[in-house]
Amino acid sequence: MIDVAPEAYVLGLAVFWLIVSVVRPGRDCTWLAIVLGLVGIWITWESSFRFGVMSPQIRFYQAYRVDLFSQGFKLLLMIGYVLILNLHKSDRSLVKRSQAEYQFLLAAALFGMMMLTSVYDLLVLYLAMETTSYSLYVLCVLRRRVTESTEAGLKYVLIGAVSSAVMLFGISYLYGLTGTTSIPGVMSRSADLVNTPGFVLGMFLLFSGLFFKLAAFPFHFWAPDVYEGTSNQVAAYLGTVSKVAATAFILRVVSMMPKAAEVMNVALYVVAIASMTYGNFVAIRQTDMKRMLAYSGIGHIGYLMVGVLAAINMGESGYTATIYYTGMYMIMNFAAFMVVHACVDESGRALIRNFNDLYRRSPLLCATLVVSMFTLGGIPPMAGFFGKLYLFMTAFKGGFVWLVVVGLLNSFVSLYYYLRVCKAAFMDPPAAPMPEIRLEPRRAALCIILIAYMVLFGFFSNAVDNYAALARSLLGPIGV
Amino acid sequence: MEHGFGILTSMWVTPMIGVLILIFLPSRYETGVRLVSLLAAAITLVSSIYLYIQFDPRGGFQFEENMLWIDYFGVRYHHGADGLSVPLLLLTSIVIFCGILSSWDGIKHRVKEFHILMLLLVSGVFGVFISLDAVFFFIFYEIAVLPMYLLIIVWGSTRKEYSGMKLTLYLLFGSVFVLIGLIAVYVHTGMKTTDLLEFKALLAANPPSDLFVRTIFPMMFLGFGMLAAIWPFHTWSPDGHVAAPTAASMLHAGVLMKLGAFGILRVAVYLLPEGLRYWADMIVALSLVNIIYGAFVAMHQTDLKFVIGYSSVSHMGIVMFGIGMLNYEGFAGAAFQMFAHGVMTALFFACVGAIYDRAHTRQIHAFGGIYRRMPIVCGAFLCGGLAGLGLPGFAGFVAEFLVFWGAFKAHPVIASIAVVGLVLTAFYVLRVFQRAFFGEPNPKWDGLTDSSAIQNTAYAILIGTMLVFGIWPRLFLDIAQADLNLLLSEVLR
Repeated sequence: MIDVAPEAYVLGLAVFWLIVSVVRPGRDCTWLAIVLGLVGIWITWESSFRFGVMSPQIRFYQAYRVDLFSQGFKLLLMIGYVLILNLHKSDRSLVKRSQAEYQFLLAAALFGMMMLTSVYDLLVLYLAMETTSYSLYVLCVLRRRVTESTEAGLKYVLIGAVSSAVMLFGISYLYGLTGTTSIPGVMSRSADLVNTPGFVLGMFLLFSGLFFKLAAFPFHFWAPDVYEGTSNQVAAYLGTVSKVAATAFILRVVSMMPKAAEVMNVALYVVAIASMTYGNFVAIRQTDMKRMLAYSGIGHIGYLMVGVLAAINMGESGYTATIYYTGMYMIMNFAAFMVVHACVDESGRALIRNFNDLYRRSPLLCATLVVSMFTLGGIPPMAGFFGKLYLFMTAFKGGFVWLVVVGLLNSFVSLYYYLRVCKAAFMDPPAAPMPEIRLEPRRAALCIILIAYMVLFGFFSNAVDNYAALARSLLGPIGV
Repeated sequence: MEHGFGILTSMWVTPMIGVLILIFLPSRYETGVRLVSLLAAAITLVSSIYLYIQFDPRGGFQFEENMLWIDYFGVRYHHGADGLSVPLLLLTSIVIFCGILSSWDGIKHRVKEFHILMLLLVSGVFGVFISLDAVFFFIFYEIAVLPMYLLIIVWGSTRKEYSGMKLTLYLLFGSVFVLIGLIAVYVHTGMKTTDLLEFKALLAANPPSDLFVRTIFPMMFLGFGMLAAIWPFHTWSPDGHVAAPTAASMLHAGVLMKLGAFGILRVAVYLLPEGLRYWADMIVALSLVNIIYGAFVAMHQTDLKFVIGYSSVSHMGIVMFGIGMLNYEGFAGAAFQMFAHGVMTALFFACVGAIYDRAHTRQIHAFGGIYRRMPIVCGAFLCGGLAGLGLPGFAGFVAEFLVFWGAFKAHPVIASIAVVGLVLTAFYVLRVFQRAFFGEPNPKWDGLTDSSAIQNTAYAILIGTMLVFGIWPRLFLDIAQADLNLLLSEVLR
């Protein structure tokens, strides 16, 4: 059973933190958490790529599938989790008493997301989604005495509950039509059923639930408010790690569909274009950095949907492009959130104004901010450029010419608001003198690593090569 | 065919090394910062002169470096210089060298960052001129465009934030179209390689449909054309030039706008020559507007820098005009005009920068008789102006002469309309002389001092280059001839 070691470890981690939260509430345990997280990365790596599964394993009565695809994503999630732990500012951000609870919920959510990458049954899907969601609901309100935090949490719970219900409704349709909850079972019937209204409706509702998690266009309402209201590290968690997990699941479902229905293509096409356009255009008007990142995230989900479309229609290269972009997105978005977290006091709002003159206050953070904005905007030679290039080239080859044109125009639009942040950091004088920001060595080192990653990963492109090859090999065992 | 790193890599790596050294140099050593960047510029200047001498006038891509870079996309690290790019490399290194000299006293705050961005920008420019791979070409292109944003908003003047954002968005908007065009070619050729030479071979083996050529060519043309300030996408350029600090304006008008014209020739025309044949009339029409309209607007400006900004629009129109003529004279004139205008406009901006640093205004009517106070600066400006209106002996004359020769051969009527632009140029240049430099001395400017020895060196280099190439144009034409003829023969085939 070594193949489920990562999940077992994370579950153990969650239980451990639960116990700590009862025995020693309020103790700052960031360092311990980071060390345990690093151990988790090691375990995931060892169990998956050293001793682990090179051929797919089906576990737990056909409900759970462990393969290279899922393990690669688990590694990515684990890395994202450790990155988020690094954001923790113990003294100011959260209610003092809930330090250990924070760790517990983070680990529990991670457990749910890891399950999501391996889901092979619709009911397990539901369980994994709820495990994640419930942890995130509580995480959202842990911010110290801020009304927006409560409001954000409530909004998230309500919309989350509705979307879960919608998804369950969809699952019930699929079960009713096929008589099974096993995903490959459902999908193997999809060739006959693909044009029946019931099946289309079921799939549509199922995807609606996922789009909610991803904050894709028609299901995005919660994202800006929740990001704004919740603490910075939780917003970062929502904006990076949770999207990786949802993308992984979408790719898995898509890989098991024998052939896409036309209506599915159209729906994804619409979601992609709407997400990109809406997210990027609305982001222009934002004055709050976290809201801006939320809207830019909606835009990026649009790009990812381009990748999913390419995966459906182009096969392998589409998957590679999407996986590549997902990984890249997690890192670059994290870098942006890290700067937000370092610059902005948790009790206040993250207005773009607050980044004024960052250049003087902390050159290193300013560099990180600029590089992450350029990467998100897809400016060469940053890593994000290669991700986007690959995504769009694949889509272009798949015949989605207009999608590519719209996508490129959108990334052009996005440059405006990314550049505006850079301008604030370099140019705009602060309203009141702001103190210099002192970074601890740990976070300074993280900044340098992230900058190097975002700049060099694209430039020394053998890394791109290897990454793409790895992503491709992860795909091998996927499918029915 | 694999070739290792060579002198072309050193062209773009040298400024990058300069950047790295500057990053670790404490910013209080301002003279050290200036010396390091001057040294980097000097090394590239020497290398580019070496390239110019060593270049074999029989043409073709020389000094090639060709290695596989990203297997998965088929990206190659492929550099090479031909008769088109070698003079532009020389131009770039001259302009950056003089640019650093002329901002020696002008830039007073954040000196280190200024030079870092300048070197970064110039590294990108060198990269564009030598790249023979679409991905590298595009990467360098963006590296060349982006630092300008920060250069303008931090060190600029006159509505700098507006102008900086406008310039950046226009240029990036253009590059979106370039990217779409390149992706289309990449997909058409089977997604095996991004090498421009191999693109060319694959396009020849598998000719694209007329529709493909006719839609993709104008996309690339307009995408690059935005950087060359083609009408009606020119408005960013005067605003940007006015707002940018002296050295940045020099680089921008002198070199960066040439990237646009160069991109048209190197990518759009090189890959899709039939496209140029099909759209030539359109290009002639647009560039005619550039020439005439630019000159008219320049005539009515009150700000010295705006005059030069619009004169650049007009002069870049001549480059495009030459390309649209589809004959050797037109092509040669266009290529020569890129070089000549680059040197000339750099001189203009260096002079205006020197005046502005001392007088803190650029309004023409505010001056009067400053020739007596600043004879060298005004004299240098005069040289630039005379070159601009096409005085024989300066490089600009040969270039414009060639373009109009070609134009009269191809479209006599249109050419005679375009000549009006030259007359207007004479008009606005002389107007500046008359109002600002000569005339009644304004006692307000009695305290002005003339330029420093360092700035004079920059003027001397720029004027010297114009004279050398003006008196002995074969120095340029021999180098460019073979490759221009080759390109032309493909267009006309």
